[in-house]
This record gives sequence, C-alpha cells and structure tokens, in this order.
Amino acid sequence: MLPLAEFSTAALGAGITIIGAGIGIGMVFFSGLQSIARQPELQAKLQTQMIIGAAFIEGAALFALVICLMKG
Amino acid sequence: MNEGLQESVQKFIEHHVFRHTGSAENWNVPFYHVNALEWFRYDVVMLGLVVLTLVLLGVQVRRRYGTIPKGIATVAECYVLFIRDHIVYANLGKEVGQRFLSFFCTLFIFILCGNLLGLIPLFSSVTGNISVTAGLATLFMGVCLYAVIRLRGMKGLLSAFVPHGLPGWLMPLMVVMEVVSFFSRIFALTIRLFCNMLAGHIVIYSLLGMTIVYGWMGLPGVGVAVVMYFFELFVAFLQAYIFTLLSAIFINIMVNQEH
Repeated sequence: MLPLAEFSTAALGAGITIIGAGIGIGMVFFSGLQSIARQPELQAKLQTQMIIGAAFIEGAALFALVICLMKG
Repeated sequence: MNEGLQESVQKFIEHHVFRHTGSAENWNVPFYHVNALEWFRYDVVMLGLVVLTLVLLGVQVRRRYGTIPKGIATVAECYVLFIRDHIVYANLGKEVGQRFLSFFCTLFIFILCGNLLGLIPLFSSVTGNISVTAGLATLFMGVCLYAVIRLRGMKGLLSAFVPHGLPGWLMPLMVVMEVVSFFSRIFALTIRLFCNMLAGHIVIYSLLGMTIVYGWMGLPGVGVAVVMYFFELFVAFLQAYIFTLLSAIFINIMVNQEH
C-alpha cells in the first residue's frame, strides 16, 4: 500500500531484530521443553532457567528495538 | 487510506505513550513559570495512585490479619509465601533471603500494581515510563551493593568485580568486563520492563486506531485488540515476576561468589 521509500530503515531493523530474538527464544524453550519431557521431576528448576535465558535474549533484543524506536 | 486520519492516530498514540517526554507547558500557571509543576505530570499522578492503592491495601490487610487471617489477608499471605518460596529462598537461600524478603515483596507488588492500573482505559502505565523503571533498577542496584557490603564486607565487593585464578595480564580486561556486565544487567532490567509495557500499549492503540483509519474494514482489529488486552493482563504478571526473579538471581550472583 505504501511505497517502499516511505518505510524507514529503522522499521526494517526492528523486523530483523525480531527474527533473531524469535530464533533465540524458540531454541531456549525448544530444548527446555525437551528436557522437561525427558525428566519431568526437574520441571521447576528447568523452568526457572528457561525464563532466565529467555529474559536475557529478550533484553538484548529490546536494546535493539529501543534504538529502532528512537531512530524511527 | 486517509493520510490525515493516520497522522492523528499516530499523534494520539505518541501522546498517550510518550507523555512523560513532552513539555510541561500545559500544566503550568500562566505568566509565571514554576519548576515544581514540571514534576506534576500524568505519570506522577499515576504513581501517586499506585502508592495510594498499595497503602490502602496494606491497611486493609493489617486490619484483617491475626492468628487466623480472614478475607484479603489470606490472599496476602499466599502472595508472600509465593514470593518467599519460589523467588527468594529458591535463589538466595534461607539466611540471606530472610533479610531481603520485604524488598522483593514490595518490588513485585509495586510493579504488578503499576502494570495492572495501566490496563484500565484512559489510565497510563507507570512502568511504561522509562524514568520509573530506571528508578526501580537503581533501587535494585543500591540493594545489591548493600547486600554485598553487608554480607561479605568491602573485600567481598572487591572480589565480586575482580575474579581470581586468572593469569595476571588478563586481569584488567576481566575487571572491565565485570563492571560493564554489572551495569548492563541493571540497564537490561530497566529496558525490559519499560519496553514490554510500552509495546503492549502501542499494539493495543494501533489496533484500535485501525478502525479510525480504515473505517469498517478495520473492525476485526477491535477483536484482536481485546485478545491483546488479555495477553497484556498475562504480561503484567509475567513482567513483575521476571523483574523480581532476575533481581534475586543477580543479587545471588553478586553475593555468593563461587570463583
């Protein structure tokens, strides 16, 4: 609908950021859920570790998103 | 598509979300510039509302608390037990955790209250203001340093930033790395909470704004906005939990140095 020139490069950067963050968080939860399925008795410990890992990746992604937001 | 409408929707979203970065002219007394009024912004009013809610809640809980708590006091007890067993004792251990339990309880309920009050229509989220989240993270930094100095002494504070068991030429690099990682943790706490709350509000308002820009064609956006609203309800709890959990983990990393 909009011509391509009207999109700012910051919007493109936001998209690329989300790709990376999505792959990262997906991998964390992928392996975490697999481990829980193998050893359900470790669920509480693994869940905490999963959330920490996801939070770190999310934090790094949000740095980039803030820059996109400021420049866009 | 109507360009003017789109611009007005964008302006409305910017006004709602970035109100704290705007000018204070609208709040000021005419012909006389009072600096104190610069602090009296929308988010400050919301902050006061959060504090008022928490104080009233505390009074109500205290009144109903006894050997057999009744009413809202049972909920408060469940809440404190949850924080104690799942966040503080699980990460810090019992001896250290007991000292900082009240800090984590306060942190969690403050963030949760701010997030939830922001979800009431026309209210703004306190935690969607970067100054507030930066303040919370600075508070956490103070508690973190206090915990290290109190429990391990100045020597412990030094050893938290200077790892031993490394070759000497690597030492200056590692000290810089440790200091940077300490500050980046605090910065990450700030940005995470701020961005999650901000993004939620922007998404909801953008979806609602689609009805203004596209007319009847944008009507499905309202349904999606309702779904996003309930997702934000979940995120409000999740972010309060993550902030508290990560604070506990970071204090544990600083206090219980393995290396």
